[in-house]
Amino acid sequence: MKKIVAALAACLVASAVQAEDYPAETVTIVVPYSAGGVTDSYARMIQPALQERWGQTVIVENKPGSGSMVGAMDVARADPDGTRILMTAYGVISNEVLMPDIPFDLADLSPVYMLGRGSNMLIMRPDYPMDDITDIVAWAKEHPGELKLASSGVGASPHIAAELLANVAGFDFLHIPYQGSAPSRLDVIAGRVDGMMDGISSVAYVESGDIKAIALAAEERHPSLPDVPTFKEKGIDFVFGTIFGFYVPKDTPQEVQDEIFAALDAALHVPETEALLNKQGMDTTRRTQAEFQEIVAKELDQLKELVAKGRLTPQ
Amino acid sequence: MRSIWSKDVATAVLIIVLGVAVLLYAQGHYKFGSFRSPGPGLFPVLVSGVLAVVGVGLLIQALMQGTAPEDVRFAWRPFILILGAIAVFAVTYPVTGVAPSVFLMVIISSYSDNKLPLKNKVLLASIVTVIAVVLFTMILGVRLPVIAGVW
Amino acid sequence: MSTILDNAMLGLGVAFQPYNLAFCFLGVFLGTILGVIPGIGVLVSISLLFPITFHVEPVAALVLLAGIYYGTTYGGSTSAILLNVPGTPSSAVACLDGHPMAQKGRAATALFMTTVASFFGGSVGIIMLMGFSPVIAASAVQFGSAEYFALMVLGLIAASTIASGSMLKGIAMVLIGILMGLVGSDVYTGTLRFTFGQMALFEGISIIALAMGIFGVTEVIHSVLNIKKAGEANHDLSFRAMLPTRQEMRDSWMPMIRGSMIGSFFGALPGTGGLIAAYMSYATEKRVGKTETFGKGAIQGVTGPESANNAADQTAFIPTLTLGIPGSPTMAIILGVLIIHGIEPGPMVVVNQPDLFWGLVMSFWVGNLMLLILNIPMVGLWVRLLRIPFHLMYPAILMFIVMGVLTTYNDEIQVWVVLICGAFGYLLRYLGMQAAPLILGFVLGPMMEEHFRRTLLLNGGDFTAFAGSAISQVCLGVSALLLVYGLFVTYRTRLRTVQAQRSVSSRNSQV
Repeated sequence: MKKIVAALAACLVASAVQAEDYPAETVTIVVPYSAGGVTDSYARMIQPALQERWGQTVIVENKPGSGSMVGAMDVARADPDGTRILMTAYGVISNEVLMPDIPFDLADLSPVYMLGRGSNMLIMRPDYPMDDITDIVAWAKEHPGELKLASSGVGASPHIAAELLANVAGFDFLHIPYQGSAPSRLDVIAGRVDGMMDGISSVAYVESGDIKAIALAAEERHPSLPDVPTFKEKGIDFVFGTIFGFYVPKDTPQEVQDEIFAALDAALHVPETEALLNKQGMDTTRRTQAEFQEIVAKELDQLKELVAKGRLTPQ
Repeated sequence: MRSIWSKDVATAVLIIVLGVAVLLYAQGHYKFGSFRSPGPGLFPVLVSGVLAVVGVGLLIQALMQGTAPEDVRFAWRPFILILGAIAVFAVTYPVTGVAPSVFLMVIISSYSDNKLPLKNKVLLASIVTVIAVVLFTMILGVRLPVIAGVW
Repeated sequence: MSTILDNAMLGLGVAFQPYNLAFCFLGVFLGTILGVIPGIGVLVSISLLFPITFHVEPVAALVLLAGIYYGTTYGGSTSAILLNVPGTPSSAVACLDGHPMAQKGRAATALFMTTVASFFGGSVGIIMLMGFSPVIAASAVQFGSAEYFALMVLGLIAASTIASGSMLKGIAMVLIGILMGLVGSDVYTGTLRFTFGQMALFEGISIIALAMGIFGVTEVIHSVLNIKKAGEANHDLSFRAMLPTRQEMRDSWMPMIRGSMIGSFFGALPGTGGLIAAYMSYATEKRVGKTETFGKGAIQGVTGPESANNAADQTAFIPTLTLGIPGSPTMAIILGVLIIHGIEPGPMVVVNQPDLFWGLVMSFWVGNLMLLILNIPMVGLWVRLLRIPFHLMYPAILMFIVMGVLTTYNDEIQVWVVLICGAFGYLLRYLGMQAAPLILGFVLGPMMEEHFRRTLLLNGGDFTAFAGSAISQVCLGVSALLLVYGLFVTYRTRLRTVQAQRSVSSRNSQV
């Protein structure tokens, strides 16, 4: 019954928003990935807190498709009243550069709140002869195109991470894309490829000895892996991680955006949530909306540079 | 001498045409690459090439075998009406919502046979529409417009 | 051994908690109902009911999802047998002999044996899951791209033998399926292939839209004017009529055992799963079965694939839980539930969280038992469905297909995909081509390409790499034998037909 009432309300009440009484109707968080994915789980995690704060029904809606572009377009074309919020990972940024033919423009969205930044690490097969990133880079420079690095897919963040690393360190590798990080990790474990950039979540395999962790693409070492150095420590200026963030249509009134920011901040910037996210390797440094927008812009520049150097090919 | 044009021959020719068409299209549009570094065109070209060869095999087989009696007639009426009903659904749904478009689809598709008088067709369509709305939007909780702009 | 028993007891303790039991029942029940409805597959059912799992304990959440998962697999076969419309893509094989059985008035027996076979297959799969998870997980590591490619060649060759008639037709269907599977963005470069600028095709033709079009819509068009429907046959609804004859029972044991083994094997390999297992089982039975009735209602063609399908559903949890590799989109969702509840799947999950692992495994078994108990009384009910005249039924089938696809993708473009696939499917049917091999080609095609290219990429274009290991050699060898044998059989039957025709025509000319 509740559902019907909510649906009725959503359909009937279509009036102009006024910032002070936002939200006046059901708010939908659009997740451009399938139910059960990481992004989806984060969205569902904060849904109750938002519902409580706003006194309105908050719905998580999955709109997967075209590498997260279906959901992103849905929000970009929605009414700019803050009732449809996009919660997404890196795809919205990378596809802007890598899939220029898609009728979607990142400029149609306004980045509001940055949940955090995942971290990546370089993992290698257990029997790989070298353990030190300096040695690996030196070897890769001498043998261009021979280091076999897997990824979870073309244009996915591990692929971009590997290309960025190669760009910074100055070597070429043989890219072997897979569909998803689990199958690619399996081939690292089996020794069919040399290594890959992976999320911190694969720490269980490091502990069980199935893979070797070489270096971390973060500012600081991770508590779960105290012995693994960062690239920076080893003199390679390379920090990278997927960005989880919330976006609204660009013409949404600033007061509404401010309220969404405040609500998300209140829901997420609590110790337990942060601890959970940190455990999964997420850097949850608090960032203002302006800082988030700056970060998005910087990522775009970085990607464009990779494209210009021919390391990534847009489709 | 009967015509060599049997259903099997037609099938074989269609398969050859399909194989060759895909092969040419893939070759023209996607990079073949090399076996060392395969491009996006390599696999489609190989598969469509094999398909064309299999089509030739089927053609030889069909010509050797001669004609078999044509047993199945092409059911034009249901073919057009059922597919038409689905098309009408696809066109009307974004405008009208679920209920009217399901109703229309059922009415149109039920003209595939002549077993029901119009009155019963309307009744059937109403029942099916109610099932659709109750099952999908109420029980399963899918968020779809039932009647656009109203519900 | 005693540790396994201890663990089983621990698991039963968890599974039999009334709370978990209730969710198990709910899952199995909903799964069966949703599975029977064409167009609503396991993925939709799980996605729709997924939000519930946030409000319950992790074990209960998983038990619920698992119940839906194998409930839909089971329910999918029901509509395949009764209506010749597979409720889920993976039950396409159940149409081949299940529906002819129904047409002969043996629908109740077919459904009953499906229930038995699925329970049997499920149980075998669970035993594999209990006893051999670590071993199976370790052997999954043995399968690299070359081995997968060889295995898929074997699967596809086997699939092309399942259709009645010429093997070349089967191969052609498989190849068309592969080509259809290639639509969308290329795994290696992201190049969009055969999409013709349609965004709906960027991620490929959707399997549900394809299956519903090519089987569902085609079947409706075909049957509207074709009065020889299952409903016309007389159906005895007594319990006795449901039971198989002694001969049918004898004919079913070996297919069920072989099917369970095949299913357990393919289920454990990520990415292959129940669909290929069902095809392999059907092809095996057709090869070893001493009956000419395949495609005309052979009980072996129902029980073998059904037990394979269900065994695979169980062992599919092995790579998901122990390697963190979801073999299918459904498994990816289940993996997501695990992660949300703070359970990190991987090599340590069995050791670190024994109550979760064993509770889950035992509840699978309880779920399969429930499926059995729940469905035997329902058989009569389902068969009664056949008494509804088809002209009242097909508009409803059409509605379920279209609405199912629409709610799955939330995009009416997919309805157009159903329409086009329906037209194509009917054309194939008119030309006497069977669509079942096409579906397997469609599912395996993209994976096959992925492994084909990766093998070349990793080995610098060296084709000998495809036969580099014993696993590949065996798979490719058996494929070659099947191919040669299949073509030989086709040639021989053709020759006989031609001779028969000649003798008929010579007799005619004598008259």
